[in-house]
Amino acid sequence: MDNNNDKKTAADKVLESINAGRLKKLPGWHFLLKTILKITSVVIISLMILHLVSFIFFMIHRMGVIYAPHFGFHGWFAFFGALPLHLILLSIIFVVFLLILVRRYPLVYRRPLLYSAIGIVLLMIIGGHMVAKTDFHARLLNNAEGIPIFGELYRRYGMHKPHNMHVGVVIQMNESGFVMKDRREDTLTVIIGPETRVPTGAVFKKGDEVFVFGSRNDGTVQALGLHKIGNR
Amino acid sequence: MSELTDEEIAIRVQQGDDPSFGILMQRYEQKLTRFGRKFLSVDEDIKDRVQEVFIKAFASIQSFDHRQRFSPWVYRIAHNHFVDALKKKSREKVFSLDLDVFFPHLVAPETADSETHREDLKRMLDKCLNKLDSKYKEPLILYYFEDMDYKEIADILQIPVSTVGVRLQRGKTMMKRIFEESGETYG
Repeated sequence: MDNNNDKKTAADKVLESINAGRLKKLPGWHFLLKTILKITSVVIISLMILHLVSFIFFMIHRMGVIYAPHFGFHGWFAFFGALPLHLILLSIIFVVFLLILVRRYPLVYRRPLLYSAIGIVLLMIIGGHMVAKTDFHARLLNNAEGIPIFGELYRRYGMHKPHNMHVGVVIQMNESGFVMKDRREDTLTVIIGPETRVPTGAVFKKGDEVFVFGSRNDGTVQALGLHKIGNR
Repeated sequence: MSELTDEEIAIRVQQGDDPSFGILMQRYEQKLTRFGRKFLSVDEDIKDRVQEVFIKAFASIQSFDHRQRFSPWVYRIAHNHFVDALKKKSREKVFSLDLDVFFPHLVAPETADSETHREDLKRMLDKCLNKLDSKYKEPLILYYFEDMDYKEIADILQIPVSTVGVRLQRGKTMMKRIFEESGETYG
């Protein structure tokens, strides 16, 4: 009997089990459900990356970090120092997750993975930039108290103030520069000197929203650079 | 029934004609056994492994997209199963993400080896299979023993077509080195 069984081919044994009803096919909905779950995961992770990237763009605009490179080497140095590196790292980790999820699809694996990685990053940068231009994050920031998980992110970054970068509204012009009120409602006196870099033709007046680059000493900022935010 | 294509038979199985799966198994048993024997480089449990591949293929038949070819689909199942078997049997690191898949390569064109040269290569490959890294061994087996083209191999291994070319090229170079080291002649 055993000898007979040994002589049977793998195909014979499997067919025997099929005919005896011992082997069952997994139903079509099983695979459909798996596909839906995979697509849902891809969509959720993509949306999370888009949210993070757009939030990074929104915050670097809001904090004025984006204007810092206008002011030379010190500006670039301050720019890189002020970037939310852990949010950028988190976005990269999500991109890696996304690549792992999609790498089994022919559209992805038939080309070098680098192309897909570049494609995803470009899409997220363009999409993130577009979302950052809407009032989506501003509204979430204003309602941060009521948002369960992301609220903390908005509260933390909403109050964050990068070193040597000040954003506020000019409330009074004076001989040495102007007085401005920043987003924390602090009043700062901005001194404009010969070393201050100002965009050609820029004229500052009361009510302008401005970005000031320079070190703060108590309530005074010695401006190394100025940029009118309305000009972006 | 024998004149039907693999894909047509697969559709019949999907529609409930389960015994037709036997025809597919008959068509692929020898091929998968040869593939498994060369890839796993062991003899004793190949029959069981192939049987498990068929069981998995039958269970998953509803996931087969009949607009695609059946052959790469069933070989993909076999590849996954054999890789799992290798992982269990040895501590060899099998197919972790490597830079071959990540970075683009100049596409190594699919070259048609002459029949004699191909037979020589097959004979040599047979002799040194055990000494080759799985990463290079599998494309060589699929190309020279299973007569698959780059695209089919790319679909089975789920790697870029250009990477298949690169791995075949490197595999052949490795094979040449193994032969030179053993004092035999290559080609």
